[in-house]
Order: sequence, then structure tokens, then C-alpha cells
Amino acid sequence: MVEFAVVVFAFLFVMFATMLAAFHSIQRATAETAAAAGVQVAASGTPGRVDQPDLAGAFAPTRDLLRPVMFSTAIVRVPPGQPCRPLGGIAPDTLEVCAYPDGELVAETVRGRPNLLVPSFVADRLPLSIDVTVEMHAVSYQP
Amino acid sequence: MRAHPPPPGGRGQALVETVVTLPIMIVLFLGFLGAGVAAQGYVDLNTAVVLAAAANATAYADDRVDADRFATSTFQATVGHDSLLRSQGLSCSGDYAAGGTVTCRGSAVLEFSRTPLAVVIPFDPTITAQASAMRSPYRSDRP
Repeated sequence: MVEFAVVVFAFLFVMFATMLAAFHSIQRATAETAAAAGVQVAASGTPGRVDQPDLAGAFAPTRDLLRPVMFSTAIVRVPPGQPCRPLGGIAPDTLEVCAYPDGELVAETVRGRPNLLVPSFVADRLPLSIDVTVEMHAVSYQP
Repeated sequence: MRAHPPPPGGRGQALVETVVTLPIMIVLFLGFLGAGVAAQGYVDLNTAVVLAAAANATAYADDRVDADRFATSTFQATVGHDSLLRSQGLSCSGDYAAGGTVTCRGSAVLEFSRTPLAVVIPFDPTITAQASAMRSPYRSDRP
């Protein structure tokens, strides 16, 4: 009976941990894809001012790609041009999206702690945050 | 009723089973974790190469120097944000004319040695990724 209880507990624990890790992997990979989509928009020209990166345009494609896998997570837009806050300053169940210039490049960061669909006292103790930054050279030619 | 005495050597059986099973479980666990980290590294590298190819295609047509510079700076900056990847360089080739397709190939070292996973993965593999992008046939000629 004791052996059975130990084995069942270990099995459920490992299965739960595996599912959580897999879910986090999906969320992180999606964040990477979303940031890449957003930074390509950010690196292009602003309508009407083609020599200026479209930092404000980065948020919409990023949010649209993030939304399907970020359950109960607030996706917050940081004012264009400002970098995201450090991870410790971002509230739980929140992702910040920020696009900012970096010399000749344009950077976009997706950072925060998404909702993992587990109780907060468990989620707060897990190192499953997202911190993805991608950069792209600003587009040099325009019509 | 009287309990049967344990068979000779039976008392050590559980200990032997644990000694055999536990290292296998730990190696399996760390191995799966390593596979996850490797997959994450590959996603990051692939994103960097995709963005590099896209940046290459945004330079003026037939300006190979600028195009490769845009691609390299994009690749290096994006890989530089990943603490587990060490860039091994990027090379691009193809048709740099308007409407042409350029293919970029980037590689990086996945530094398991900087993580506790080095216990089960005692080497740093080099991973590569490839991506193509087409230069605009209409807007990329130098004015």
C-alpha cells in the first residue's frame, strides 16, 4: 500500500511537471515567433514618415500571435521607444511587449510571467518566465 | 500467526533497486530537460537567421556589402540576447538583384557547459539554421 501510494504520487508529480514544462515551451516558442513578427513591422517605415521605424506598429501582430496560448494573461503594450521593465517589476500573469530603437537596429522584447493555469502559490515558485528579445536592422529603402 | 522471516538478502533488495533506478531516473530527467533546452536554442537560432535573411532583403538591390552587414548585425544582436547561444557566424549567398532570393545560413554553439545539464551532456553542440528571403522586385532599386 505504501509503495503504491509513493509510486502514484511520483507518477502524478512527474506527469504534472512534464505537462507544465511542455506548456511553457509552447508559450516561449510562440513568444519568440510573435516578437519576430512584431520586430519586422517595427523595423519598417512609419506611414507618412518612411524614414522612421514603425515602433507603434509592432504591438498588434505580436499580441495577435501571443493571445491563443496566453490564457488569462494580460498582454500590455509599453509606450513605443521604451524598453520593458525588469522581470521582477512585472506583475504575475502579465506580459509586456516593447519595441525600441537600438542604434541602426530595432529591438522588440516580450517579457513577463504568463498564467500557467496552476494555483498562484505554485506558479510563483516556478522559474517559468518568458524573456525574449529579437532585433532587426531598420529597413533602408522605401517607396 | 507468525510472520515469515525475510528471505536471505531480501532486506537489501529495496536498496539495490533504488540504487539502480534512481541514477537512471535522474539521467532520463536531465536528458529530457536537455532536449527541451536544445529545442529552445534551435528556435532562437532559427528566428535570428530568419530575421537576418529578412534584413538582408531590405537593403538596396545589388548592394551586397550593405545587405550582408544588415544581416550580420541582425543575427549577432538577436543571438546575443540568448544566454545559451554563442554565435559562430552567418553567411548569405544568392541573387542580390531586385526580385532575387538570398539564402542565409547561421550557426551557433549551444553552451550546455554553462548549465547544470553539463552533467549529462558533457559537450557543446554546434547547431545551424537556414532561411531565405526575396528582395522586393519593385522598391529595392537605389533611387
